[in-house]
Amino acid sequence: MKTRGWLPGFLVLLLACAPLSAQELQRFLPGSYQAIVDARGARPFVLALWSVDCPPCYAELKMLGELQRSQPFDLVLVSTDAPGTATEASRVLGRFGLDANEAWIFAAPTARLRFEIDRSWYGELPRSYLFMEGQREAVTGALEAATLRAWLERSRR
Amino acid sequence: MPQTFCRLLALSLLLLAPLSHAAMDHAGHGASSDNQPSPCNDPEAPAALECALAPTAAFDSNGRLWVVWALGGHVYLSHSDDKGVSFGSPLPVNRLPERIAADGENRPKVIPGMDGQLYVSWTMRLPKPYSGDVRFAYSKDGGKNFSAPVTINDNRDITSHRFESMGVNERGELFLAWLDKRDQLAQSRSGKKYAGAALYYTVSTDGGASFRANRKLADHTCECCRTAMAFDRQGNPVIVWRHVFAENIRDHAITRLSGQEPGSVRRLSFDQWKIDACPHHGPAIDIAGDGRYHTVWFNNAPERHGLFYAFSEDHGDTFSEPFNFGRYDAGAAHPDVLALGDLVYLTWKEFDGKQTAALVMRSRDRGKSWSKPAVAAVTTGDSDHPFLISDGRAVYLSWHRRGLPYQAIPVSGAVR
Repeated sequence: MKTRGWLPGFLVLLLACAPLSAQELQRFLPGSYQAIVDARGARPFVLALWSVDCPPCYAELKMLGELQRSQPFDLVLVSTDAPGTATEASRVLGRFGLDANEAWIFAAPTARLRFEIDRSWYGELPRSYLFMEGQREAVTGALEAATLRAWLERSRR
Repeated sequence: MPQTFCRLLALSLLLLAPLSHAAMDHAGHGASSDNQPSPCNDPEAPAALECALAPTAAFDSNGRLWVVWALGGHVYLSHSDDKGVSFGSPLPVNRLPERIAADGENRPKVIPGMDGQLYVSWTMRLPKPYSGDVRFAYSKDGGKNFSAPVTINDNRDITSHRFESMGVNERGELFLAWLDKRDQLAQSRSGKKYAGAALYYTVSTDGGASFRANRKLADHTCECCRTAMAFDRQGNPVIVWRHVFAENIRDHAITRLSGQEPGSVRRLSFDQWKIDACPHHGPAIDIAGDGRYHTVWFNNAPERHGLFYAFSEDHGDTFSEPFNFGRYDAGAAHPDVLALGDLVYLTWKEFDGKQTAALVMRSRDRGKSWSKPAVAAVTTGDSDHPFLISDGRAVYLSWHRRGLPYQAIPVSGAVR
């Protein structure tokens, strides 16, 4: 790789802009799914799969951001975009006020990652999993606020 | 003020990004290639075919194989005179760089004409998520020179004009059809809802030098699945796509143009997949010399799911009982179909937990009965959608496996 003369200067300037830069997404690799699940044990959480190239995902992200501000819950966001899209994906999360959540981006062959997450999931987005006491419920298509509120209600019993 | 400055800085970084992102995209995608040197990381060789995300290939009438792919803001073209074993040096199609969509569902395409023309289309990404313009350029000299790219959609809203399919018939009429959200945008501006996108098309009768005004073929298509086009025996384009039927049922539809005029829309699949989501999983069609339509698609409805094949003998008015193929629990996905005489070939891919395989099946009786599935190629890394291509004699698998040299793979040896 050639050294690019402008790069160090840019990095310094970028540091100065740090508050504006979005969070860095973690690389979702084989094993990441199980690690996310294991780390939470029986605790309830929502795993939301999304992509920058999926119109209904934006509706879902907006809803998630709004709901979270009224009642916080554990949310893991996984972008199925390529790692080259990380900056854009992170910006989208920021726009919906979702920066504070654990966020990942696919960084291995998608067939393998899908296989580990759910063999009946064919990549359709958005796709969410509602986890409670180690059991999960799959939802295809944009999650509805009412569904999620009812689930949150149950999870707090 | 600092905000403005930071935005400008971010913007300038974005503008510079294409210089290095093509290589990074690739490195990030490889399963085990993260720390290995690769020609795809070499900024001096940005055009390498093996680094492409979604190369698309087609044979011309002389049996020469043409392939296009996008890297670093350019569409590149190359050809092979040994049926896709080796390829010549890449030639750029667009001189000025632009952001080009290059993924499984939405990829640059090349269609060779009858008299040595090459027609190339692609989607230019616009600065909003899931927005784009359909772009087009042609060459009359085997790709040495290309026309300046033009935008095919005559609506210039920053919205989605994407997922184009393209074809040319024996009369030289060149058709492009694509998914277009101009109507959705217009409706949303006046506070109304519009489900999905629309299917628009245009035609050129002068080899791509000029195009007719855009016309609409259908309202309410699914937004992010590829479209596919084939020609019937009269040279009418037949187009298939995923449609949004009532209550958000995302099944498939088909239409046949009458010459250059729109035709009626018919429903192709009845799997009742009710889903407010993007399947990113479009259908395919081929039409045999005897006029029979052969179609394949994917659905994931609770009752009827997986890959399906059906044929039609009456121009798409009715279809045979869909034949479910591929292993659902192995992620059978992204089917393609090709007819050659009485033979019909299917391809798709599956993942068994360790590797991804492109499988092939053949029918000798025009789609009535099928051979056992056979593995045509495998990879442990990431892979593109599989496609079937033919030079009129043999059938080849065009399937790019990330990190491996791109080649056309003969499928005749795989199926018996």
